[in-house]
Amino acid sequence: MSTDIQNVIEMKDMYKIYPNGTVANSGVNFCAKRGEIHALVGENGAGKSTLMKVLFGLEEKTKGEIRILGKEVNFKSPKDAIQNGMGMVHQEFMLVPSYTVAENIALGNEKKKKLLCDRRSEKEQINQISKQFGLAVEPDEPVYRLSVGAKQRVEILRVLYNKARIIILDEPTAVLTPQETDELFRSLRLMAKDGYTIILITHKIKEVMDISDAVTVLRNGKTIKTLKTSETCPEEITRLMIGRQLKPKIGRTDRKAEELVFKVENFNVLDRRGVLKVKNMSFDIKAGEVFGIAGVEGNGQSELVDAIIGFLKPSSGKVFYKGKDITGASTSDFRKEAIGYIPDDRNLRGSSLNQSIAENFVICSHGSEKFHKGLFLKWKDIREESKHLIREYEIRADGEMAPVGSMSGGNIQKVIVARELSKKPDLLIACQPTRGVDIASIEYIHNKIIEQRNEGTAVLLISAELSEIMGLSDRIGMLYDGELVAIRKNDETVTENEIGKYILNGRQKQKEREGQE
Amino acid sequence: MKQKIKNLNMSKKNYTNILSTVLSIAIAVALGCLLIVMVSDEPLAAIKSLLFQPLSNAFYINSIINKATPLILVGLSASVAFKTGLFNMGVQGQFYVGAFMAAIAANYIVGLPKVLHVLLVFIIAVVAGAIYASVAGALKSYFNINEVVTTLMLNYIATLVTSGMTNSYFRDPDSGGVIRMHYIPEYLELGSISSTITAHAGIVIAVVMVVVIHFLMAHSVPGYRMKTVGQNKVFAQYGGLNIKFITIFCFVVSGALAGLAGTIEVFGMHRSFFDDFAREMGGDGLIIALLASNNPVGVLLISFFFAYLKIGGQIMQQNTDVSRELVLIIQVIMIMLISSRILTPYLNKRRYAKEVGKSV
Repeated sequence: MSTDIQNVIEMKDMYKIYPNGTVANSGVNFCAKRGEIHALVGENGAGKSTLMKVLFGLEEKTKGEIRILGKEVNFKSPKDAIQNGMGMVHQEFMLVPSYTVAENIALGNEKKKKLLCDRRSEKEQINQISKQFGLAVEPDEPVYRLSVGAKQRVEILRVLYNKARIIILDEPTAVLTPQETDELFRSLRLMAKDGYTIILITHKIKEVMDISDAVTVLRNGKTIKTLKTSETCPEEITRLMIGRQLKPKIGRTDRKAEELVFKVENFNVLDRRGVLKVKNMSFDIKAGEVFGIAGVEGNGQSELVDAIIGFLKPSSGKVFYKGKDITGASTSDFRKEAIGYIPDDRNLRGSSLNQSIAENFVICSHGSEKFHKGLFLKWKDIREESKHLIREYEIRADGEMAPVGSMSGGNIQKVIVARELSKKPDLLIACQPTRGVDIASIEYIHNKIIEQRNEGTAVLLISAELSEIMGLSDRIGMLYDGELVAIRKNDETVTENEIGKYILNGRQKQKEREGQE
Repeated sequence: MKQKIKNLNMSKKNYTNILSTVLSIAIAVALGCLLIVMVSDEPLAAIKSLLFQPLSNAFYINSIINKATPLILVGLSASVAFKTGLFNMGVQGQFYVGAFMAAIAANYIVGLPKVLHVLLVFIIAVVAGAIYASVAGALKSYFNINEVVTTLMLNYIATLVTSGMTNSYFRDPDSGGVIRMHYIPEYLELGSISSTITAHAGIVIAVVMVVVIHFLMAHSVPGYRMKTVGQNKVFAQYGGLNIKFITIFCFVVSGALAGLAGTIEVFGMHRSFFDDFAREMGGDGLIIALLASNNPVGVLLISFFFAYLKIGGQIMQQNTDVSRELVLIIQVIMIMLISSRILTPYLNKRRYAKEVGKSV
């Protein structure tokens, strides 16, 4: 028996091998104490999520020992885990949109009064928890009306409502603005003070330093080290995570951007349900310029891009590419131009997971003279070219015929980037190009985008990651509720907070309006 | 180690799939035999007729070839659609339309040189099947109507209309109690391959189509496009493929194959269009495609296996007290085992357990 009862969770020598042979965990040790915020960090594919899924009973372990409060457990399903006081907040929210906040929180654990649900006492309890930890919600509001941050609060409240004492959060800040992140962290600290154990899966080192008490670094399915946060530094964690130092960044060369490549004018787009998602948007991008659109997800980014590339029809406005009006062009026509497009959804839109890397590479180019002759594809040439791209973009794969789905997220993203950049685009549309990608790949992709820009490509960068926007853009457009509330040159005076304010509530816009009135 | 095991995974994946299919078939046949033992008074004789007699003489072997011929084509037809991510449940209807048009063109186009007539009949039948299938494709492309529903509905239309026509306008008055058209002119019949292999020449066409479809799907531009649409439609659209066109094209190919199957059945086996003469054909095609994982060569093999079982079942029914419906039971067990892929994870697990056991 473990004697240190302080260790709320103890995982020893964990192995997880999936039926398809992927080894996700091979010798992981993990301990978390009561009242501790414990960060679990590692690159994508390091095995963080798998470890937590095993802990939460979503996956069966292959080998190893799990102890909760010193007692050995073997959860067969999340139900067992919840009964043992565990809760997990997933990256994708699992809420019923048409239910109210209170109904969602109490779902499956309703308080009963005879045959009916006792909604009032449910609400009382929710209000009490929400006040205690500063998780503000409106219990009667239907969930579909909530912002992403509020939905996350609902998820956390649900876990607390179910009496969890150990809470796992899977990359909770990926969808939040800086301000929302601060609020979340404040709540987490209150919970930790109250004796809750919080496990934070993340790959953002800044967060680790900001909030955690301890940090466990995973790499290639193994525990590299567990450290006290106060005794380490960001550089050490990075080094442990990726096993080497990062390469120096490629700088943006000074270039005079002049030739206008891309222009959007008075653009209005309705989404599929008929809601106006892009409102009177106008911007232009010159050759050799990165135009970054900062904004919380769901503020019209996807509709804007979909309308540009022909997945949606804009309701009014114009799009010009090199002076040519391409408004409402079909996707096929659009893809014939020298335009690279990195979509935000790499698994569905950006790649075909069951098809080989080679097949993924030629989706746009298989119609060219180079790759087909008459009715037949020149497989030899395609494979040769694919091998070349794999080498050039440092993609870690089992050869060009391996299915894309067998690789890690970072490498899949590199396949997409490689394909889009190999078109030698004059315009590159990059949507969340590094979301959910490991640090080394982020660095690589950023450098590639800068390289393109330095060579004279016009880049439209859409990202919810402020550091990315600020690191790459020449100009930044702040997006709030489908409007570009401000466009600003990216110089030393820009701060995350300034952008945060714009994209959170379009404050400047508000002021302007008030001024006009 | 991760890398190593992944490599293993890639190279052996196909092999495991085939192994699991073979094992599933073996288990299904074994269970079938068990059932025979339970119900029959002469189980050994029944098992012998089912499993061994089909290969005991030339007549049976030729029957197997004849049975397999249309199965291969309808199997290909279904698999082409599956590969594109579409469910062509209408193979049956397209088969009838092809067969019916072939019989009409054979009987009612007269005065042409024989070679031209043969060619024309084939073209008409194949095109008829293709057009009939493309209705479902067009409805899917332009009105987003689920192809499962439309193809199933079109089956009824095809079956009933051809039946109605055969019963009325086109019925051979000398056919006695059988509802059929006139027999086709003799020069249109598909003859035997040789004096020893008396099976009709349809099998040659079927095998050629296996090769053609293999090249279409694996090496051609349209095949690549169809496969991509089947694997991930959003990705295909993102890549600039014309999904509407590809959907219709896929139905055209699929329908053409079904129509060809119908034509060959009429010219090789029945020499006329009989009312609702092959009602299991569409279902068999779908099942064969499923069991073969849409692989053309797999379709060929599974079709022969099905034909073998069917002939075995007939012999068993003639010689013993076990009905040929037993074959259906075996087929159903096979389908359940293979389509649920029960065995694949198990086989994988065993292999990885071995590998990991070594290296951990």
